Amino acid sequence: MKNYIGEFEELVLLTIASLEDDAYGVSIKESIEERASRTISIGALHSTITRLEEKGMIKSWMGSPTAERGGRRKRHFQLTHAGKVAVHEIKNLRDELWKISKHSLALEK
Amino acid sequence: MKTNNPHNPPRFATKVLRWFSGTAMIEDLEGDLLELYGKDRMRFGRWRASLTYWMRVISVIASYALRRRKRAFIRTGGSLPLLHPSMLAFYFKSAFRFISKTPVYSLINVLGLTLGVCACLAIFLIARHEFTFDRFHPDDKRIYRIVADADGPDGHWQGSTIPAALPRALRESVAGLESVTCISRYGPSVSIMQSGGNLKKLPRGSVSAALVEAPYFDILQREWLAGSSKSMHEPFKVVLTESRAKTYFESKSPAEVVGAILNYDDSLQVTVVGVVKDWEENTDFPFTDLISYATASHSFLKSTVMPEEWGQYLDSFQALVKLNPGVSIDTTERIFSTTLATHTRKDPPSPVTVAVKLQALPDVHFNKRGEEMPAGERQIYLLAALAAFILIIASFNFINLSTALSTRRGKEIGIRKTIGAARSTVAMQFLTETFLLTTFSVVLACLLIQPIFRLFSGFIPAGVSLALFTLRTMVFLAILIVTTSLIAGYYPSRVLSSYSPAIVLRKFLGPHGSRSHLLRKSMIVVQFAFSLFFIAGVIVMKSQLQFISEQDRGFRTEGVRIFWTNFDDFSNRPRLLLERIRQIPGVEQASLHGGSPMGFATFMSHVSLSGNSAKDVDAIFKSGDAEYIPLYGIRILAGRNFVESDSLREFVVTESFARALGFTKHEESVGHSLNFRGKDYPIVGVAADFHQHSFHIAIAPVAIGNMRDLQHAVALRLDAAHQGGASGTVLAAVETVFKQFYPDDVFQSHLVEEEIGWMHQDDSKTVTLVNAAMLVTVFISALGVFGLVMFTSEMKIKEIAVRKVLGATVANIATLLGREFVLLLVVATTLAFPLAWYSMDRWLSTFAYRIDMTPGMYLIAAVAALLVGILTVSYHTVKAASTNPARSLRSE
Repeated sequence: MKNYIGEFEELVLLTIASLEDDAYGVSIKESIEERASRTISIGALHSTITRLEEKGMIKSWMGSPTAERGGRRKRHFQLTHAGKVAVHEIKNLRDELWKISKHSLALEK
Repeated sequence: MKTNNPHNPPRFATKVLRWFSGTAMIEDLEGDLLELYGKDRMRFGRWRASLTYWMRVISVIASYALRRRKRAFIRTGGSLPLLHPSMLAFYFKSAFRFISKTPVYSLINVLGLTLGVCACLAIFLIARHEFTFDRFHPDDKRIYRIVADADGPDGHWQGSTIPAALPRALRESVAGLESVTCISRYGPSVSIMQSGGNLKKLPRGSVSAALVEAPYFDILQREWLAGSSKSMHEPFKVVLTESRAKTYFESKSPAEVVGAILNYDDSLQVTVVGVVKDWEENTDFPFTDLISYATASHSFLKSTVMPEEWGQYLDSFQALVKLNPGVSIDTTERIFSTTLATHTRKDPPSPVTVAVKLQALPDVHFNKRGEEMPAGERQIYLLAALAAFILIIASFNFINLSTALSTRRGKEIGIRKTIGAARSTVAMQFLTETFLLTTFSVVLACLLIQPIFRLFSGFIPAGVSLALFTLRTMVFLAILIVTTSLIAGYYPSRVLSSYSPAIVLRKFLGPHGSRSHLLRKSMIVVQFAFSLFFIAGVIVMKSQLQFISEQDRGFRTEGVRIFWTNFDDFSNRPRLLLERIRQIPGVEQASLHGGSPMGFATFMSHVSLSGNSAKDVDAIFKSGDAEYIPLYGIRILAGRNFVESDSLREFVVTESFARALGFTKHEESVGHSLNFRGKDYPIVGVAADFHQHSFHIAIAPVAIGNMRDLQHAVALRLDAAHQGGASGTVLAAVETVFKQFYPDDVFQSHLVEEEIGWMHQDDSKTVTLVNAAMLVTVFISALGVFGLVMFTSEMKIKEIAVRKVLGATVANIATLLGREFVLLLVVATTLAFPLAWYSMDRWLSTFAYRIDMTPGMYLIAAVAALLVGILTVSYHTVKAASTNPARSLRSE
């Protein structure tokens, strides 16, 4: 695979996708924290976002300033085609693996 | 309630974030942080929100995201602020690279700068020493030395002292004085009865004692280890310093020393009443034995201390006063002068008026008074100027080499600028290189300063501290580094950073501007001029010193040694001693006299021809027995030597004496009589003139006679077999005899030639100093030329190769490279030589007997400089000229 992505990167990509038009630093952070019930540092989040952007999986643009941000603008994120392909590939890989190991993965009652 | 204002997270944290981000784009990050802060604040309150904010700031600073954004910004054409930490790291990195890539240039620069810094550091340490004398006493702003100025028909005169009786009168009659004390220097021998019953003796000259009054201890305060100054107004009391008490009583504690008895000069029995701590600071009052002043009036010291004296100004006497706060100095001086005048009123009134002055305590060290300007201070300023010149000349090398090298660095600068370096960044980079080299030179100078001080120990005042890790020295060194970096680095960094990448990259060459060329040439001329100035100076000064040592002085000194007997001994003992010495094998001649013909001990008096008081002469009187004239080989021109006698009977006078008396032919004076000390003595002979002083002073009329009261020195000439190295055994025998007569005195003999050397000590010191300055400037200039020639021969390597192919000889090429420097040297001579001629003429004019300067001396100086120049240039020119052209042209 050309562009390997890690678990956290996958999580960020999917969260960006789930947030649609409202994906920016704070909303991504809060969404992940809420769903995965884990705390993530803003520095780590932005580092991951930067890496994803360098790999060409997301693109960003500056939004409009808001009051609660002291007049600073938001940076909005969106998945690129490559990003979408990457998460699809991961999902396919997983589905396949699930399919073959359904039996052994069955939880005991 | 205004709890949810989201806009005030810890401001400092935001500043830290921005500082670390530099010019990177972080608006969205800041926005995220603020938004999170606002939410936290509503949920957890201010403190927790702030803490979390801080942690988030740190996490962002450390994050890959921020690093990436900073790099991205630079890549897209932005630049970091000039003094940003990562820029500083970059400056140092490229400076280190450049220095290690050009070791020879860096070495030349460091060597030159180190010499300059060494000179500056040495002068700083000396000045630090000299300017700290007596600046530590409490209330020293109110302490003054009482001195006197005199105005009379003979001119203005400044003295360091006052009549010994004045302080008491001042104390009794003048208001506004906190304390006054007399200080009278005294150098006795000491004997101490030690606890074991054995007598410890210290000879004269090893004790620095003074008679002081009790208020001395209020003015120059001391830390008392035992006892007090309470009984110092009584006679026969003494206060010792701690170290002195240790010398006298060894293991006894200060408290045990109090009450002990000391004997000065075998007859002055005094009791120790106190022990004080030694001063560690520099002082001009270094007395270790402080004897109560009242002792003087109760002992034999009365005749030398003269506590009741109003008319005489004794050199051994000083007085200090501490004024009450707010007392006017002018008024006090006026009152003091009036007090002195009322006590010394004369009939008829004296033509001399004496004004009492107050000299501030810190001024005492420099202003010994009696000289136009305090010599020590003037010397320090001169030396400081010299050191600054040396440092500037070394900086010239730096400027020259770096601008010359800029041609080679054009490419580097061009590329740096193309990829986005600002002019200021390039300038900073070069300044950092200078800074690094300067710092390295300063460190090197600090390591070298100790050996240098040892080398020049004759010039360094005793007790100069070499401590470098003091605040003041550190500040000085820091200032030195910064100013030198700026002097040496400012111009090159401006020139280098001004290069336009389009030009330098197209030509692959630095712009060979005529402006920097002219500057470089003029700096070389200045260096050469300094070198030539000092070379010429050394040649002229050494010729004068040689003249002094070779000139016929009118007497012989080969193998003549002198030692002093006891100055207080007016008995027949010196004569008995002389008889014993004459019997020692190896002693050819011996004479008892008042001092050598050319010596420090001179006795001047007014004398006239008997029966004709109109013809009077100010003459020097030399006293000696009948052996004096033969021993020193003084030539008798007419008449005869005086005969041996018990007292003064006859005089021999010199030619100039006879002339001063009005005789046109000197032999006519023989047979006339001189009126000396109220009696008539015949002139029996006329001697050839001889020098009595250093060559600065003209030969004066001299009369030689047997005045026994002035004879405290023995001169002896050893026979040829015992001169030089073999004199030891004879001198040991002389010392044994001496000790039989003067067991308490120190036997010290010296050659008369050494005494003459001491007279010209200042001159030889000046010459050594100028010589050192000459060597340093020549060395630095040569270094600079060496570097420049190395550079030109590298630059012209292809030109040289082509010329060689076309048939040029090694000599042709050497001329090509060296011609410029010879031309500059010629220009420098026209600057240096008139200046050298003028200042050397001024120096020579301080001598009464001097050489005349000849153009030849200057020719030698020019040739010497030329030789040094050729030698310096030749290494690289010959190397460049003898390179195989095939090798230098291969790459074309």
